[in-house]
Amino acid sequence: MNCKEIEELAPLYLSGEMEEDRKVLFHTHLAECRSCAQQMERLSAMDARLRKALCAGLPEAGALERSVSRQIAQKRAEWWQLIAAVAAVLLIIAVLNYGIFRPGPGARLFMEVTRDHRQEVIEHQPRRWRSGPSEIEELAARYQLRDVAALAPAGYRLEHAKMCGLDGQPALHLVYTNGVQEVSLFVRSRTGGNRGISATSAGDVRLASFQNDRIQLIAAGGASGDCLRFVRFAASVL
Amino acid sequence: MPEAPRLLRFARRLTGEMHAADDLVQETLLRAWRNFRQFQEGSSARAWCYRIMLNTFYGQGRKVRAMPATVPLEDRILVGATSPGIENVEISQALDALPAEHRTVLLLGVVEGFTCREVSEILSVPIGTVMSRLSRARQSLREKLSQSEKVIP
Repeated sequence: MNCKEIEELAPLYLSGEMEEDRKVLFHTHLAECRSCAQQMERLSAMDARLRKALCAGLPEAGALERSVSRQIAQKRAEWWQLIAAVAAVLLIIAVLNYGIFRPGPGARLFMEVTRDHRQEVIEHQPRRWRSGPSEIEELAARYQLRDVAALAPAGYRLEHAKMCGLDGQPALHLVYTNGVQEVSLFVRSRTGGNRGISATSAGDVRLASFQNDRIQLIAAGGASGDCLRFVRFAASVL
Repeated sequence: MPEAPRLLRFARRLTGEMHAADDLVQETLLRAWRNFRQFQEGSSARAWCYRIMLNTFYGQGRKVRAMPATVPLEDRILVGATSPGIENVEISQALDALPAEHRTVLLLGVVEGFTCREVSEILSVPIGTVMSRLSRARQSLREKLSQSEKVIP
């Protein structure tokens, strides 16, 4: 190592970053060159003097740290408030969308009837069907109905009955058959809306309903026109 | 925030004003918190904080401080955290008289104790540049000190 290299590498030596093998060569030169040795002593002493002058003590930063911690906590809180506000807006949009696009009452009944049928037949969730006439009459009494077997038009007989949920409301599900077709008649408390008979359809599924002051009857299934025929007949009996 | 006192000491040297130094440290720590994801694991967190501070300070369009000679001695001691004593004030004045580039490498490499590699990361310059700046800065400081020693009887 020569004097020029010593001068160039001095910063690494003074900062303590010099690798060991290089340091050996560095020290060897200093031992042989009085001028470089003196220069390194001077620089080292000046560094120490600078540190002594400027590192007398660390300033008190407690208040500053507390202030920064407070600001961070505040910014975190603002962040959560922002998230909450965005969530609230999304919720309002979802509610408004539901209000605008939610299915109408007829479509909701279709969905409920289809879901109930799917659960029982496809997902094998057996329902507690009653087929004894006295048991069925007991269920019908909840709706102040008697002789529900007589609600069906000629050719149909009452097969069995059960309680189910329809559009969030309990309903009596009566099943009639003519040996080939089955028709479901749902009985539930009146939900409002127009009295009398109405019919609706979605694709090849048809629903017909009749409503008086007290109850609503909904017929589903059977051959074309059977639903309407069913509710008309039931309405005349009631 | 174990680095806050050291950062404050450095900021006071950098700005030359107590309140400006407080503001600079606050801004530095908040930026460090906000940009923590950018911190590369394995590198020095302390060096990263100093880098943020220097970027913040120079990014604010501030001119590099040259502490006016009219600042009373007590204020200098307070602002620069200089130990009392004529020798200490002398070297502090000599440091202040250096160009900013030299003063910064001396403050980082000697006073704050960063290695040349860390200073190169803080200033985003090659390590060779840091080494030559440090050599020139030490040489200039030595010249300033020898001038003032000649003046003092």
